[in-house]
Amino acid sequence: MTPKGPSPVDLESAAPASSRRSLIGALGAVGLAGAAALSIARPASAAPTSPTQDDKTLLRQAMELELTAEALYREAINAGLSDVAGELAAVFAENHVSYADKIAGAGGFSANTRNEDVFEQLQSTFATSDADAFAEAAAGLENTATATHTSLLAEYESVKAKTLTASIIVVEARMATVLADFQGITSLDDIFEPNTEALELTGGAAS
Amino acid sequence: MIHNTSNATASRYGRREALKLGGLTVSVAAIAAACGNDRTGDSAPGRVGYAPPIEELEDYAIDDAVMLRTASSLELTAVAVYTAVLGTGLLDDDLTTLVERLIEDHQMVADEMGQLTEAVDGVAWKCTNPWYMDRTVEPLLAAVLDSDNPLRDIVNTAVVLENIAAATHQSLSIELKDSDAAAATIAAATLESRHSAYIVAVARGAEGYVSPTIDGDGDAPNDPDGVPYKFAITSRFGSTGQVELIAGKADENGVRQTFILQTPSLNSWIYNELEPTC
Repeated sequence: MTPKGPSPVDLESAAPASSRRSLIGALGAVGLAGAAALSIARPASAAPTSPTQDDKTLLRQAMELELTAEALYREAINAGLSDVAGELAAVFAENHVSYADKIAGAGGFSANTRNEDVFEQLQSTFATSDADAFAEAAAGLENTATATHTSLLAEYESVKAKTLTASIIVVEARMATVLADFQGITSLDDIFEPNTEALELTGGAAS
Repeated sequence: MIHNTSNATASRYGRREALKLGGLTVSVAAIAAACGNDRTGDSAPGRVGYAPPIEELEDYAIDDAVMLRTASSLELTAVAVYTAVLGTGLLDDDLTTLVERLIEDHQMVADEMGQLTEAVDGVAWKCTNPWYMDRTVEPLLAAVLDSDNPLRDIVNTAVVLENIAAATHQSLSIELKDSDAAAATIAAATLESRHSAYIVAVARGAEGYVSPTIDGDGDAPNDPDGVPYKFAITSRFGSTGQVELIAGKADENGVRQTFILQTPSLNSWIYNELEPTC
């Protein structure tokens, strides 16, 4: 199995956000597109139930990331990935399209666009039938998605956007853990506290 | 003939009939009185016997400090469970290393929740959760130690503990008003989701990666003893619902104990007014 090295998901990133120890400090530094224009998150008691207009902007970015993840898993499946890795790719692709659908439903738009910048950056990495190479790339993707949603969570104003995002974060973390185990990673630091950064979602932002 | 007639009448309305008729009359009168429009007095349900009066429960506030104290209590409950598990001597070296790491992580999260409690002007909680300990953990540990397959039950207990801890933090990340506290709880939910998934992966390998019921169809598979298998990924979205755990040895009917674990609610919050239990 491939030992854990630098993540193959080499994307433009914001401040580290997935580390438990660094999360609190990092959240304030994460520079998401348009975040500067957003107001500080409201207290839960005053939070609106349905997504605000600012939420919808961020939700669209999140949806596009999810459809990108689904498309990347399809690349691996189409490249001939099989056995356990192929089964994981199929299930995880379904997970991500489910997230895209739910996010789009919450935001009141269609789930029909992906983040082309991210897709193009990772397409060749995922287009492989090599199980280890796939697992390494996919684990990086899931950890990046987890960190990105965690960053977005702090920015959302509505209860609906927060609740949905939290329910996605915890499963994406599980997917990353499964992929780490599949790679044969045994370092508990690498499994439980992967050093992954949140994406800076500038390219996929929609008006 | 007249004499005979009188005797017949007396036999129809004897002492027993008179008592029945009298009782019926009193009952109907009581019902009629209870249904009357001019009924006054205590509207509380009637009580029988000499039970003491019902005490009204205090309406304690559930604020950020209460949620964070409860989070600390759950983390320390997990530490207590894992410490007890280590003491069984049933774990091999790999599982011992993993459980030691789980203890370290849960203690770290508990400490962080304690610091955040003080940051919102609360008093940090440094004990286990008495509600969970009394009603779930102690009977569960007793069942596990008495089990016909204690190692399986230890692994399943660890998975369920991590799941319920993750679900609790997932919920709190939405409820908490303090942004630092909300960020810390979603980080804890993420960490404990990773814990849960990895425990299953170590115990079951690739077979335990994804539940075949992830789409909500079909029945969850059981092991040869009828105990449901655990999976790293059981659903597409993180659930905050209750989780079931079957553990312990089967009784004479082949039935094992089922334990239900839920995220904190009214009885298990660590209210600000609650005195330390340790």
